[in-house]
Amino acid sequence: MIELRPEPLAEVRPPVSKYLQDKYLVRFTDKWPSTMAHVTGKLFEIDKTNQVPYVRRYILPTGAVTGDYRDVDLSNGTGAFNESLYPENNSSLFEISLGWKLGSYVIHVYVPADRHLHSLEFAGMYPIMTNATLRYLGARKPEDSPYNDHRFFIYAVKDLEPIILRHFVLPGVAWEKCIMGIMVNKCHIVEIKSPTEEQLRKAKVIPYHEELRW
Amino acid sequence: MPVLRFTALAVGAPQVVALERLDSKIRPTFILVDNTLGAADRTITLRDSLLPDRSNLVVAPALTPVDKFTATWVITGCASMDDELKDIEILGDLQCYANAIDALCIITIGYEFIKD
Repeated sequence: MIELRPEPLAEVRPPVSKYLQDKYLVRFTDKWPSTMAHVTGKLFEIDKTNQVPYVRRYILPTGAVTGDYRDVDLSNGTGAFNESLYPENNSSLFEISLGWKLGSYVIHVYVPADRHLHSLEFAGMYPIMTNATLRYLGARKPEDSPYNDHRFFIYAVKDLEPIILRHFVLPGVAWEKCIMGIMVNKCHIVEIKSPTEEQLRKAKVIPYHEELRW
Repeated sequence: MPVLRFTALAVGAPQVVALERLDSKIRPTFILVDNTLGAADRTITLRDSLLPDRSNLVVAPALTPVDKFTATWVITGCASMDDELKDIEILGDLQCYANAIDALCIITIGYEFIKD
């Protein structure tokens, strides 16, 4: 559901599209909860796509002293922090890619809002914005997913919990402009009720975010 | 690359050189000040007029002026600078003002929108 794709070691010929396309297959694991039963454990074929680019910027003060930050909530809503990038229909899968312009800031991923995605196992090893060391734990830099070469991907379906991208401006600058490029690849999906073994094998597996925690 | 030519304005009503674009910062690429006919020495400042976004601590941030470059051109002087500007990044609007209004002090500023 959330992927940070590494820089490729080699090029593939013919090139493979970085986005889902018509006729591609996707399979949601059984771990998706009953609140999203319309996808849990099911296989779908993508029958049409539509790419929607977008850009958002956040001018923020450094959080070095105060621990200040900006939470960017990708889910739908009218709140001050909602970006409303999620689907509203059961037959939609939104493949959302994100890339950032260079700057003195990092991004932390939370899903749901109060749970960091990238913590370690020893006690206390999770990011804390007011801690000069732990604010770097699990942090993604703009270089990890450049504005012109998105590597951060999120797969959103209707009723997905809010994914929060916490933008934190590092020490050394008074202000920073965090520029986030967005591409929403809208995919219309059609369920394949009786998939073959080959279809199941070829499908892109979309795990639930809880599968990234163990 | 865009360029704007104007006469020196004071800090109370500065010249807006370039409005902010949401998808990029602005970098001034050169400043040329022709003060050969000016009334006095002229101190010119480039200002970043930025409107911060709401954060977890600041609910209603205010428009914030940040001066990022200041230099003085002597009367009768005409000179340009470019290398001195190469590390300046403007997050909001790029503005320019002088220490006094002077209709005979001519300022030309070039700028670009940073791509990366």
